Amino acid sequence: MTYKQGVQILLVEDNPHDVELALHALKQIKIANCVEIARDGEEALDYLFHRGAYVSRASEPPPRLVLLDLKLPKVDGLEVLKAMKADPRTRVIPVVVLTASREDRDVLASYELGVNSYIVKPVDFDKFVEAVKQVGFYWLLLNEPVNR
Amino acid sequence: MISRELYQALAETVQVWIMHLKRDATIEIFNRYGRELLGYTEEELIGKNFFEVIRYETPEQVLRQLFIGLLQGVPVVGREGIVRRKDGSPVYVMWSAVPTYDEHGQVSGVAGIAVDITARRQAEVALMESEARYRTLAETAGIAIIHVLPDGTVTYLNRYAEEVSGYTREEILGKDGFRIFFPDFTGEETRVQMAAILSGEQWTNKEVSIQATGGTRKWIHFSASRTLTADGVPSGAVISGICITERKRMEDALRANETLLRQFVENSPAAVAMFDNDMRYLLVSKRWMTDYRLGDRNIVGLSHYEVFPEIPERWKKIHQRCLAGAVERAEEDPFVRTDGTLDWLKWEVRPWLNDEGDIGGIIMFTEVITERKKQQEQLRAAEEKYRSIFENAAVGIFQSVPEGQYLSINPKFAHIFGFSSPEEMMNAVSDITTLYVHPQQRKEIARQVSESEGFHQYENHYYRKDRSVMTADLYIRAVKDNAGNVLYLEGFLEDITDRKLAEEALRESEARLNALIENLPFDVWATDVEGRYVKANSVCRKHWGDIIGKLPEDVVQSPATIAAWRESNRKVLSGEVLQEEIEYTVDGDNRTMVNIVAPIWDREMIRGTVGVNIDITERNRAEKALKYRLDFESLVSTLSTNFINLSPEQVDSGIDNALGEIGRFVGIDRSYIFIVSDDMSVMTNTHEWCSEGTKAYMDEMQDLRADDFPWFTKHLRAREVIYVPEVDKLPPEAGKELKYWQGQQIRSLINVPMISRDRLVGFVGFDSVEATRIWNEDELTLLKLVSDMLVNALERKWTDEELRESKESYQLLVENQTDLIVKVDTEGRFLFISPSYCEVFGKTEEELLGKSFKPLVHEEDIPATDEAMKDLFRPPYKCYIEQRDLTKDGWRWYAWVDTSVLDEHSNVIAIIGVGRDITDRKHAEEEIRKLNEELEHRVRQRTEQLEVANKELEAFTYSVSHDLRAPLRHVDGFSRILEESLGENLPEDAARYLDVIRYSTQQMGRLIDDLLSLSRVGRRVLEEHEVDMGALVDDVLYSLKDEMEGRDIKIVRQPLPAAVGDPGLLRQVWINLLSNAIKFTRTREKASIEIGATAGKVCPVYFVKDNGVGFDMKYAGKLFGVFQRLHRVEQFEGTGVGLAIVQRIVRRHNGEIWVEAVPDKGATFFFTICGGRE
Repeated sequence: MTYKQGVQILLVEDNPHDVELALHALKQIKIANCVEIARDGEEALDYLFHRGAYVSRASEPPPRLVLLDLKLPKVDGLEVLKAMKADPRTRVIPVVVLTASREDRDVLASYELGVNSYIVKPVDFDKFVEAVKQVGFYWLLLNEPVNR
Repeated sequence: MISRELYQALAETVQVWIMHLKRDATIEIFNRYGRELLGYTEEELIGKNFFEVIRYETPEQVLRQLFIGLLQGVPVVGREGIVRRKDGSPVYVMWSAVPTYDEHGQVSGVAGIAVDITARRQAEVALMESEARYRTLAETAGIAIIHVLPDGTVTYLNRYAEEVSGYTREEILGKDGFRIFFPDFTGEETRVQMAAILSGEQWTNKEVSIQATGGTRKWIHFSASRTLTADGVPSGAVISGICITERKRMEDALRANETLLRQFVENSPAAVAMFDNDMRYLLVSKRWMTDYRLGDRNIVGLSHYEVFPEIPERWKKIHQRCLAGAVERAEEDPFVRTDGTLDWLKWEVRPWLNDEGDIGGIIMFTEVITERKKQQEQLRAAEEKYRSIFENAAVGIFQSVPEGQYLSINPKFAHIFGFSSPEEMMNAVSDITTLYVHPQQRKEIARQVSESEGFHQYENHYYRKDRSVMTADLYIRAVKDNAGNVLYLEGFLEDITDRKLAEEALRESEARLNALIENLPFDVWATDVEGRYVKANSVCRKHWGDIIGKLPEDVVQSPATIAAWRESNRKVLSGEVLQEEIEYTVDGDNRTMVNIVAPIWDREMIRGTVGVNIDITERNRAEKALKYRLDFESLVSTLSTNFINLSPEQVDSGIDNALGEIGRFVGIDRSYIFIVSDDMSVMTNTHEWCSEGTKAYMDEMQDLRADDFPWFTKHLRAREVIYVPEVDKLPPEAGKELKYWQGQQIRSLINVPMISRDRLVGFVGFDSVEATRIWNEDELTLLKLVSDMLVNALERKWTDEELRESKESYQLLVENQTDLIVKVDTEGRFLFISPSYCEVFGKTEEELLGKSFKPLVHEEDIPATDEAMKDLFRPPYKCYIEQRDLTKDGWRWYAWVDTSVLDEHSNVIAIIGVGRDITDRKHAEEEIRKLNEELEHRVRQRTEQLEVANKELEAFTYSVSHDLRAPLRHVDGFSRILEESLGENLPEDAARYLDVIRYSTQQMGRLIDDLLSLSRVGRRVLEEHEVDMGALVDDVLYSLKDEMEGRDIKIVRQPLPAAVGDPGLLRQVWINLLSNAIKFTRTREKASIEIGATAGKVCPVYFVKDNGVGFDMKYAGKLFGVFQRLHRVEQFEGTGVGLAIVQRIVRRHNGEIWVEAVPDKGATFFFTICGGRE
């Protein structure tokens, strides 16, 4: 399997429409090419921990940002978040939860697991684009990552 | 002739003090030894006048005379004196002096020679003093001291022994001491006694009577102990004796008898001889000549060995060694003379040096000390003898200082005080006073003996080492110097504790016996053989006067009595013991006396009689009274026993019988019982017994009125025994009674109240008709007993009657019961069953009695029954049981109240159970219980259903929130992208359609959000805080300022009371209400919103009032429904959920919300927040 070089963002999203809309939004800040997409939680973990299809990616640098949906097939978003924050290799990667849920318990659980931002996907596409732009700007361009 | 140098060399070398004085006493020669002896240098002496320099004790006049004599040619030989050293200390010297002559034969001066005898002198003085002390002690003791050899020969006796024995010392010395002092002893006894003493036995407390001079007998208390030689071989015995008959005279005997001691025998003077190397005499003193019996021979120039051919080889060797330079000396050396006599020598041999410093020969200094040696030996022997006496004496000997320390004590002294040795005692006792039980005695004794001469005798109490007390005789005197100053105290001590105790015991026993006899309550007397009274005790003296010394005829007059007494005396004196009882009358009182007379035996001889008179009248009477009482008691006891065995019906006849028995026993004529009524107004005679020939009155004495006998009734009410010894002598106030009783010929009577359970029930009485009757205290007591007995019997009868009555009524009660009554034993077996029980259970009494109730109880109820019944066997001894019992109608529920019947020890003896049918109640209860259970079950079911529904709802809302919005987002998102990608190419209509699509999707999104938040309000867990509503409203208004932008709105906020609730939700309430108010006043040019609160019934009522569009109140009911709108969307946007949320929040806070509105005028929303959860 081939995969993109110089990945900046790992987008974990099972709904292809959402993926397309997200990429559309990211395109506007010119980083759509640097996005790797995982379609469920398991795939996300494989990618992050170089397992399964991503085993040969071990030498690659980790993504600089993970955009994570919570409601995912197989392994859900909170579990992915938990696994990332429990492992020293992935702990430092900023994670932004991008979800339709504005339920208190989801927000609370995410923050308790150490999420960096929590964004509720608005129905209004313009607002969505705006939110994705700001997240992208902030975490990729303004935020100073940990040096490896 | 010997040269002067030779002299000087000799003088300087010899160990004697040599000097030469010129005629004028100027010191010319004073040799080295002399100088060193006195501590002077040569310069201090040579050329000085002897008498001016040297100090001495001899009076100068005497010395000068001796000096003048010397100048006239008279030598001085062997004089002793004391010379003072330069430092003043004394030196005892023996000195000789001879005149020296010049070539013309004139006296040119005096040569003196002296030897130091200080050491020897001091030893002699010490020995003499010691010997003298012991001798004085022994000689002056107020105690006889005799020392005998093992064969009994007397070797020493002191003066007191002479005095005691009546022999002189000369007569006794060398004789057999035992023969003299113990003339009663046989020869064999003497040997045995001596052997015992010599074997170490302490021989004490031998009291011997001695026929002393002058014919008086003396009692001497002898003790003896052996003496030992220095080698420990018994050398004899010291016998000491104390005269115990004449202690007074002992003082005289013990008067100090100073003995002059032998003077120090003239000491042999020093002898000196000087030899050359060939042992030829160069110089020899005259003393030498005398000492060695050389007469007037001129031996100078002769060889020593020529003069003394018998000189042993030993001496020749000594001479040779000294000629070679040695110095040899001996303090004591035996020297056997040619004639075989032995001399003891003190000698010194040393070489002398000539001017060249070579040995020129030897000087021999000898002193014959044979005499002194002999004297020393004798002194030592004497000292040892006295010491031996001191050490071994069988009495304690001591010397002490007046201030209270012992100087010396002998072993016996230490033993008396319980110490093992004199050393131990001397160390332990630093103050003699502490030995005295009365310490002041010691001081007094010391004072008395110090102020007088001779021995004093004291008897004192002392503490032994173990603090036990002993009594001892102390003989003590003060020893004084010539000036009369007390040097020390000395004396003897003898432990007389045992003797003393024996005397004391005897005296006490005698005193006790005397006191006893004196105080005996009957005559005691004693006579001598002639019948003369010698002793009479106090009672005897009271009866017969002072009869001591009198004969029977002096005491009584009757010749017959005198004869009788003499006869009995005669019999007793011949050894008979007489005893007789004598009856006599005093003042009409018949009395009995026992007279006992017995002989007094003393060493198989009758010395007199002793007699006693004992009056036994009272004793005889007491015996009779006692027998009467015992018989009476026995009768009462028998009667009581009989009553117990009588059935209640027999009690009456039993009482009649008892009245008869007692009447006969006490010897009266009538006995009877009266019963009084409860109010004591009526008395009835119920029982009567009369002796033969006595009239019965019972039939007459029925229902007597108490008022007719006021005196009697008064005493009876006071529960007193009414005792009338003589009816005729009744007091006037008993007039009615007197008449009544006299009418019945009663002479004496006694009535005893009968009391039962503190209630007067009647009285028992005893009449005497024939004669008067005296009752004594004892009888009275017994009559009370009789009364009690009769009351008990009557009580029993009455109780039985009552019981029978009560039993009947009880039975009546039980038999008519509908409740069940049973009595079971502790095992549950029926003892009693009420008829109702039999009825209900369809059984007969016979079927059930003795059987257990258990088989009738439902199997399932047995454990509970058993458990409950445990309370019957412990406090409270009660229980309540509900159980099913098998009645004839089948199983029925019964409630049983059981109570234990206890005996006096709280042991359960039976159980009474009362049962009641509760079947109907039980069924009703059961019904209720079932209904309750059903209800509970239903509630549980509902709750479960609700919980499931809640969970489903939750899952639903979650899905809504998450999944329903996704397609909306997509529709909106792709519409937007479509719009963007077509851009200018989008037809105008299509653009509008896309706008509608996007507006609709967003509206849909809002609806969903609002619904979710409504749902969240319902599910949210409420927080509870005090909320400042005023501040909250201000904050909300501020957050709404964007919506009020460009509007003219007058907002009035009044003060608002605080509320308790969830701050977040309350905020939502205000947001929704206020934004509604803003929204619905939009059409007003001048909008007005008023926020305030009024006091409500329970809690404050908050309100928001606007002047907006309002609404028709007929739609008010719909206002709070979800998605309910009263205005068109084009007019006022909104989803219709806001007020639904408000209502839900208010209700969750136990509050209410309502609205008042007028179309086009405005609306006012009211709500309350009453705190707490819904």
